[in-house]
Amino acid sequence: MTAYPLFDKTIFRILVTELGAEDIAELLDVFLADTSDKLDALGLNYGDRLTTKREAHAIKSSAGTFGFAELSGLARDIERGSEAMSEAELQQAVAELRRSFDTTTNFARANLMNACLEMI
Amino acid sequence: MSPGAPGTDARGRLLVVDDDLLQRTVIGKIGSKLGFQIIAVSSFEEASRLLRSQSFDGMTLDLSLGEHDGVELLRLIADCRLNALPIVIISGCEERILNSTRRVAEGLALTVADCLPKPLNLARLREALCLPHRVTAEAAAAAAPGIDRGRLALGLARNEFFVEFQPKVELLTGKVVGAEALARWRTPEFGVISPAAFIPMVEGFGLMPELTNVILSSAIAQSRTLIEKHPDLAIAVNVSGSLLSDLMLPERVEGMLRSEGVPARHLIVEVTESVAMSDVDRAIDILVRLRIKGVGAAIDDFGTGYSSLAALARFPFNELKIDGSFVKGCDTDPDMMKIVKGCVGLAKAFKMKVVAEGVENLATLASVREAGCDIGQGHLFAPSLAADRFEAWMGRRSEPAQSLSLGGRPVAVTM
Repeated sequence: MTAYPLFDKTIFRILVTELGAEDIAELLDVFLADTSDKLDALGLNYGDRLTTKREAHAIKSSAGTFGFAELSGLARDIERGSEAMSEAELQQAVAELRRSFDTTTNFARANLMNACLEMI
Repeated sequence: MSPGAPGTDARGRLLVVDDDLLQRTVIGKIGSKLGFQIIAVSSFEEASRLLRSQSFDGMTLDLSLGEHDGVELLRLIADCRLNALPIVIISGCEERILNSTRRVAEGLALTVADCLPKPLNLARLREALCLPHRVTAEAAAAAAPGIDRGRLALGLARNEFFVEFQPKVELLTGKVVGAEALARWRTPEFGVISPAAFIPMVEGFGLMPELTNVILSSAIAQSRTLIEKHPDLAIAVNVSGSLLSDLMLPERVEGMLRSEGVPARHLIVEVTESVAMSDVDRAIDILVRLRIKGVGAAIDDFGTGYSSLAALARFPFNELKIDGSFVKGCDTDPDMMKIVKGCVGLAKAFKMKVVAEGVENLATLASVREAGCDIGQGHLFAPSLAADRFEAWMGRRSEPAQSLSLGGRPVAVTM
């Protein structure tokens, strides 16, 4: 499995520059809630590979927007590889994605939210 | 809400179509900072309802829309005749799909402000949304007036057909190396008739041998004076594939060259292979004999025919002309650039010169140069010109101040 860096600071900085710190804090909340829902949908639908692909595609894009490189990369692996994966492999990949999401959430709450709020 | 957002919606209404909540929010925030009033929807159904009932000043469209896809929506926009609506197309799909989608949209005569891959480059999105409205090109299909076989034959008998020359420029040096002689038709009652209209009719009515004779003899006769002043010029004449069954053609061409005193190396026949070129062996026979006599042979409109690759392998061509439809898009469309480069590779393998047709701006010129094309032809250099204007244009180019300028174009020219 490819190892991805957790976070790409440059992308996040651009986002802050474009949108402003206040909006980012709000967007991060939206992202975290939304992605959690998507992960639930992924976990419930191992039989439906089309849904898997779609949800993985969406997580890849939105995580990429914030610079969450690991989450985005793992989601892309699922989007591209899900059709060839056995159910066990897919379950493992989704578990890995969820672990990455938890790490990302903790990182974002500990570092980014505060940083954004301080900037306001 | 967002700091700095103008209270007035100075830029008008922006329709954001995206099934992803976060993406929708991000695009909405950028749009609103720019002064748009944002209307964000997440489904094909909502978007189509709004597009039918309300007016918008811009739109962003994510190609993946759950059950439907963005291409269906593009078609709906065309059906609603919203051709002037600037659209930013966004997709997480691979680049080739995004490029093809742009072509679908342009094929529908829609206004594509930009095509953006994901993750979104926000600065580029902002620029695309700031772009002023572009005027969409109206596809003005020239309707042929009431012309039948009798009128065409009369035109040939009355010498209403004539030749104009479009320069061919060596890309490395900017030197004019030749010109394509193009058939033109001026009638007293209809004025100038577009070749796009009359060539298919001439072909259809079986008058191509007569027209080719007129064009060949006229081009050869006029090229003599041109060649006296510019001894390196080669004049190209289109010969329809359907004519390459006339075994007397090489002798007839040789006779015309001899009577005007023009050496054979100053003539190139440009052949568009088509289904009409039915007898391949006979066509090869004719082209080989022309080549032995010293006449050049170019494969024209390369890439658009039915069997271009087979023709390339079997016919004795020494020049390949890449069709303008590939050249025109190659500076912005990576897929077109790949085709242009592929053509160059093929041509070089056969030791042929490569001509890029339809070079209309500097960006295209830079791209075809980069691709390795030898010669360029197109409006950037000059449109087709009557022989005296062509000569004057050549004269101006050879003046020191003009010699390095590739765009030494004459101003008003009647086409």
